[in-house]
Amino acid sequence: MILQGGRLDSVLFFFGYWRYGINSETGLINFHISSFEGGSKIVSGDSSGLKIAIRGSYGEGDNLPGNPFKLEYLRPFSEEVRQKNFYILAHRGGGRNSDYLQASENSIEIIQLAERLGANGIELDVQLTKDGVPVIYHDPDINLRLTQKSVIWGNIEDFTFAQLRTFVKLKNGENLPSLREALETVINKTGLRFVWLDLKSLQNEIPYVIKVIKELNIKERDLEIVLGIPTNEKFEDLYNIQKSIKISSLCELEVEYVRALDSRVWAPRWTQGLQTELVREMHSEGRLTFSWTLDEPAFIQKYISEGEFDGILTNHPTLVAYHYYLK
Amino acid sequence: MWHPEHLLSLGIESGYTYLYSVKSSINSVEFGYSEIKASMISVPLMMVSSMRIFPLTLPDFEVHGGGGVYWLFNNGELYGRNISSSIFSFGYNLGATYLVPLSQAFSIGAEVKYYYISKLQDSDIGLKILFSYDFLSW
Repeated sequence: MILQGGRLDSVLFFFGYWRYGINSETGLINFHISSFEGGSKIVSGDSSGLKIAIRGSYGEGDNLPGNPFKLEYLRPFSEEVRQKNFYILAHRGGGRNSDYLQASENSIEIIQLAERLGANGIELDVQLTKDGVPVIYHDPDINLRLTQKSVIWGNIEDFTFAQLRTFVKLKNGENLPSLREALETVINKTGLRFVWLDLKSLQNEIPYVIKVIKELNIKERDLEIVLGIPTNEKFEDLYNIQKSIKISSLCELEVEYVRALDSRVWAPRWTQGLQTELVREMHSEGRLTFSWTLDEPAFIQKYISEGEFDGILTNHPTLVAYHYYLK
Repeated sequence: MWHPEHLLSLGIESGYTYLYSVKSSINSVEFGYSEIKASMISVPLMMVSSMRIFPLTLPDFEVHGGGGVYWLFNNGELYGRNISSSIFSFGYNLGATYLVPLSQAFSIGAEVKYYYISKLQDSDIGLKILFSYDFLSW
């Protein structure tokens, strides 16, 4: 929701727009918190025994708000939710272009929006430019799904960073971010706790990515950055590098590969099922387990209520957050 | 182009089309000053067919269309580094041709042609003068 608010004595009023988390339907909404249903306590700053009820109405499309609703405080978060460190990971920095969010996927702007969408971690896609600069971009080539029209076309690896920055604008007009800029944004402008760097380049970008991470000061932040290993080729690249230096990684391959890399996270595709036995094995070895990329509402609910994963990568963090915090 | 004794003809089209060029300069806070040069050419490889739609009244007039791939070449220079890349794109073309025979083998005429390149979502309309030569007849 995007709302304006105000108060009259101890009654709080809000009006604005709502939008579904999983599609682009929108409408008008207005609601209030009366003085005896929480307004007085909110205004006075008294949180003892605070029980809020929100009453209002919403409309669909351009219709005036005519559908009444009431939201009522029932209970605090469950002990399990408060105790567990569950990761709600937003895909492509926060969400896809096809979901019509207010910022482009894999942009600095969407990273700053991710927490408002319910995420506490993000996945970013990494490509490498001709002059060895890791940048945040999903596809191997410049295309109109991800960018505005440009005078240069081709693969990301065919152009220098300066050339890409000069000619290429992301779908909503943002600059193509470097990995360094993206991680600096996460560190300095968000409270995100986890970054999954999905290695997408056709080249071996790992040494360049490691260099950027090492130059950043993340020690004073509760933040983990892992290198995502999606293919056998990337596994080989990281395996060879790890002979001389240990890197925190997330492996999407079978558990044997996870053990060979001593990965921090095992992340199987969600279609492979709950795999509870393997998840427990990974936990017993001190590893985290994430499922990706889970967008179906029914399966999100199932994976949260029945699964034992430590996190879910999704294009709909709002929906995952909803099901998780209700647990 | 193969022109059988029927109204419909079939052929393969290729060539070289200069799509655009940009020449400018930039003075960015991030990277400083640079001349900008960038251009794009396309080499189509299309299956085309044409048809004489008025064989009795306008026998030298044909409409044609085709589909296939464009091989796109990007060249230029920015910040002292060359730009050089190539990509493939699907595309199609539609057009109309009027050819006047000058001899048994030579013809001269004009053509209007519309191109669409899906990767760039770019359209182009060209007006051309044509010289045609029959390589082989039987």
